[in-house]
Amino acid sequence: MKQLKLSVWMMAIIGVLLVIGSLLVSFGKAENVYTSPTFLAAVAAFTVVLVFGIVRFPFSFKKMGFFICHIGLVVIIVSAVVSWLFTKDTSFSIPVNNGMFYGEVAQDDGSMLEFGFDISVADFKVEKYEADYRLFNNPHELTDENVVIDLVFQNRKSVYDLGEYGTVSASSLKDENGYIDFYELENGYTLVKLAEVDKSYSAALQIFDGDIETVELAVNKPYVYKGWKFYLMGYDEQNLSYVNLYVKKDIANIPFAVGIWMVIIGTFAECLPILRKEEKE
Amino acid sequence: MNALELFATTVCIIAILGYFGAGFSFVTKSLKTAYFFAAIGWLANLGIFIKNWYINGYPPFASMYQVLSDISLLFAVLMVLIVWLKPNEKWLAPYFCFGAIIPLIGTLFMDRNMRWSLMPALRSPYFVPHVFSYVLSYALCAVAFLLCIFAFIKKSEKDRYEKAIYLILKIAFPFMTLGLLLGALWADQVWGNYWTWDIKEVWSLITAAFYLCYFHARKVPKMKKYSLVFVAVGFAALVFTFLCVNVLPNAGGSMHTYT
Repeated sequence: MKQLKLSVWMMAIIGVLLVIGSLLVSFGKAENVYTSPTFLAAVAAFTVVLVFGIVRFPFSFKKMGFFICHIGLVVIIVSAVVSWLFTKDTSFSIPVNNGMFYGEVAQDDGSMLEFGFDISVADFKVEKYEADYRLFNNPHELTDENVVIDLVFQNRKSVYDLGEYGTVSASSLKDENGYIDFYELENGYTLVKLAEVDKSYSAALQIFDGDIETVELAVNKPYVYKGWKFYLMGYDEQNLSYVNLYVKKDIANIPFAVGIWMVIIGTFAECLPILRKEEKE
Repeated sequence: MNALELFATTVCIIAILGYFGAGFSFVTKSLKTAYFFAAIGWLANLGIFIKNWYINGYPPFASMYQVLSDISLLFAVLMVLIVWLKPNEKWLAPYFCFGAIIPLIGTLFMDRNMRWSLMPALRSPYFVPHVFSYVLSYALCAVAFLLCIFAFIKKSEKDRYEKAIYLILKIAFPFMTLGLLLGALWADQVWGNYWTWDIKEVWSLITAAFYLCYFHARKVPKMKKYSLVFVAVGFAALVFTFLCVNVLPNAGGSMHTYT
């Protein structure tokens, strides 16, 4: 029982430390609070309580959910520490289709990170959503006071519905370069194109390691090669001449995911038996 | 107000009135009338959900307006589920009905952003389960908080309220955990790190920590009488996570500013 009481205190203390830490960071009063000795000591103490709790809990298959989620939590904490201490990572920009291969990139501290193979980006493409427009009653003065309809968007029939001002087909708003910036209606009112929004973008990453392998790298679709995980983070919005990549080598990446699934499965196994159907009294 | 906004507002008001009628009828024990009103409210609420999905072309779990509408939609479903599984807890029905009204009233006063383009990072298989799990757990936590208030007011019925709060939070918490940790898996896929100490992540963890305090404190005899305090504090943290985090200074740098 003392163990349980201690765990409540530890979780409450960590909760309060997180509240204070997040507010300090938000108001710009401190940085790196989550790696400060105070916070790390609290997490370490919590981990010790957690491990003792697991070891001293009497084993039973009925309480398997308890063991899975608590051990999963320990796996997550250990993985996070290993990851924090040993991960090699950096962000960098790489030109699109310049024919060059790169085997190392600079880290924030100026040192070079070597992959052990070479990479290049052969192609990049971006897909945009259909353009949205704003309707103004005075094409010469595009101010907030002259906005008639704040947002005019294309419906499923490829038509922009302007309510009492009629409709405009999507094809009328396009030329060979895509959606036009301005479109004047018969009554002099004007549709003004809003900033186009990215729907998706992807790059063709080439890996030269004896042979050349080409893979698609996209947002939400990283690529792993020999322990290096490549992420597409952004691109040159003006000229599409380069892309921004993030790369990391983290030995704790998979154990961390295993810990996460253990906590999820264990929590459901521990909590949901309460949903067993009851008879009416 | 254009035709679409007028439709959205009308349907929302019908849903609010339906849920209010259902809650009031449950209190006065007119069960048939209550189910009738609940059905009207839920169908109107479903209309908002379908409208949001149709206009945007993706499951409407992205903007604050969409998520608040979804939370209300889930209250009635959860009420039916709990009443079916636990017939002795039928008395909880009005709390779910009145709970469903609050988020919908919120949507009436906010920018409804009829169309909301999903940014590339949000176009992921994790998007729907991550948000859905949170929406489901938030709806249940809101009901638990309502019951918590009544447990403090009606001291004679405290045991009954405590039992119901425990039941509801035991359903809510796994989904809160699922939402939190699917978010971490998603973050690794899209940003390269499971955890970045983003302000929204930190407050989600704070919320989960206080609810965990409740579950553990409940098992310690000397702490049990204070356990409901953690339910109240946990819900305050939840509301802060959901609504207030983005207004903090420096929150502009958050990965979650679109929520």
